[in-house]
Amino acid sequence: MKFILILWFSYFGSKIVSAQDKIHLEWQVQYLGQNVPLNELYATKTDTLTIKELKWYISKVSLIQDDQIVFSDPTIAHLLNIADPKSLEIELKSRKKISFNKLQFCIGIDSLTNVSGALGGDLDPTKGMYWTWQSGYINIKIEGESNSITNRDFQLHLGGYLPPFAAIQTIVLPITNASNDIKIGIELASWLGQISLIGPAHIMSPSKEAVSMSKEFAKQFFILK
Amino acid sequence: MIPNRKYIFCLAAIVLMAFTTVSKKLFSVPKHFPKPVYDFSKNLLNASSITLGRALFYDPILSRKNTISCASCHSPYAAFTHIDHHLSHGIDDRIGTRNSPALMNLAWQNSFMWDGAINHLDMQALAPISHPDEMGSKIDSVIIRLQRSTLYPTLFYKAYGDSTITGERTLKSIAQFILCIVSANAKYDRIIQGKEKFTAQEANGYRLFQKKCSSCHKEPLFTNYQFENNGLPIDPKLNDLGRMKISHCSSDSLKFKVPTLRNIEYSYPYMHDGRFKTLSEVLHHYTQGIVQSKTLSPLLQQGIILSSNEKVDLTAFLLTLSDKEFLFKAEYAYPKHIFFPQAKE
Repeated sequence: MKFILILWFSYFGSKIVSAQDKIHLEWQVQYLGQNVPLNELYATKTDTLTIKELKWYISKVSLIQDDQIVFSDPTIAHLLNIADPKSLEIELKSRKKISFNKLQFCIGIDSLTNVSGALGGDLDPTKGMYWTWQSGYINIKIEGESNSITNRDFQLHLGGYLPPFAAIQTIVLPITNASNDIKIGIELASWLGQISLIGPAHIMSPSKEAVSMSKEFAKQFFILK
Repeated sequence: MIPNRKYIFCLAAIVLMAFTTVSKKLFSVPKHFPKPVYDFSKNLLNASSITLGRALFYDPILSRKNTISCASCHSPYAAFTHIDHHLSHGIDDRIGTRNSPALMNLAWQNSFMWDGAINHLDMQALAPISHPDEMGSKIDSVIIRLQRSTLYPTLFYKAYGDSTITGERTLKSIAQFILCIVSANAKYDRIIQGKEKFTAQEANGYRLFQKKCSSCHKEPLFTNYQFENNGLPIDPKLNDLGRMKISHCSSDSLKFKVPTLRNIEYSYPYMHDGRFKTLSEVLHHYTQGIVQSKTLSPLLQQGIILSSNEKVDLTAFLLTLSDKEFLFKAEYAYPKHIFFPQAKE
């Protein structure tokens, strides 16, 4: 009898869990309002540009209602890779129906995770987002070519978790519609335009420039209508 | 119900005792050592993972051309360093810029490399695997080679319950093996435990050591794991600024990690660039060779004063840190039984 009761509870218990709220997040990378495919040449009035690689970490995803966090993503971090469209979609599963008016997330990996040893999944060092000569995750990696840069190519590996060069950025975006499908845009044109302004086109270690470019990257996110 | 509960309690106690016995066998903290800093709860030791880590440590499969293993620069008979090589020697006979450190008691160490570039033991192996002057490979290529091998899927299966090979598992297994490399049975250790006594010369050397060296080479690990400038003149060819490269602070210029003195008899040559071949050269540096600079350790500002006789006594004490059992321990040795299971002893 007890066994049947346990089975009954576990069945209906799982039903309750499956009656969860699903929030679908999708990132769209744009250059001057157009979606960015890899290895294609973009011509603007001032530049021609090719993006060969773009990957970045999203961590601590949470949903906020009236300044209260109503949902926290249990996954430590997601690696978003423009070459892997599936990675640009994340599904958040809440055990209960939730209302929210802000989406919060970090770009990059926090200091605690950075000192936690070997981790798996998207944080596995085989993903090419971990420095080997010095411990630490690369938060954002972009490589490509641009006519506006001397010697044409740029490689930005932006990361660092120790002050004064901690590069992680927190972003809060207002959500105005009630849909559970949220599309987040990233506009690269003005950010990439700053490479030649901010400094070196090759950044491979924690530095003032890495922090500066990370801050500017964080400003390029917006909710797509 | 009551007998059942008793039965379950007894069973749980037996299981717990069994686990305690196993974990004691795999790793135990010597009585006179402090608590390790490594968080074992995040990488639970098990005999099969340690065996896997041991195979990986001795296998050149980690390098691009299948020529260099961890043990190439960290040989057990040399206290897990590269004897007689002042700078590390890697793939294609390339020479690195620093002396390979002796490996032991790593569970007590909180950062790795001479400049502390690596913040966790799990991540340490990534550096030599990827360095163009060491193994010249990449962790993702290593994983592919391991997946294609006939040996490793089975070893991963035994260690983790399935044969999936990941970067995380590979690194954690290597960490498990090197965590177990513990040196705590030198004459010094036996004396501390009341089992033996110093000779008069060693006792005088110990007294000198405590007075003049132990601030940095703190007992019982014989290092404080801090970064210090010990007054070496800069090598213009290497121009190595040490810790400053990592911290970006000028106050860290020319600072390197204080190395352990355990097994110093076997771990020559000495210093971050292996510039001294003998202990007498090292002591000569501390007494007569210190170069003054802004970041020089305050403890060395006046140099260390030692007479010739005192140097001899101090050396006699340093030799009590030699742990021969550690050097030839079967559990740390090349795992012939894994690589050549058919070979006869």
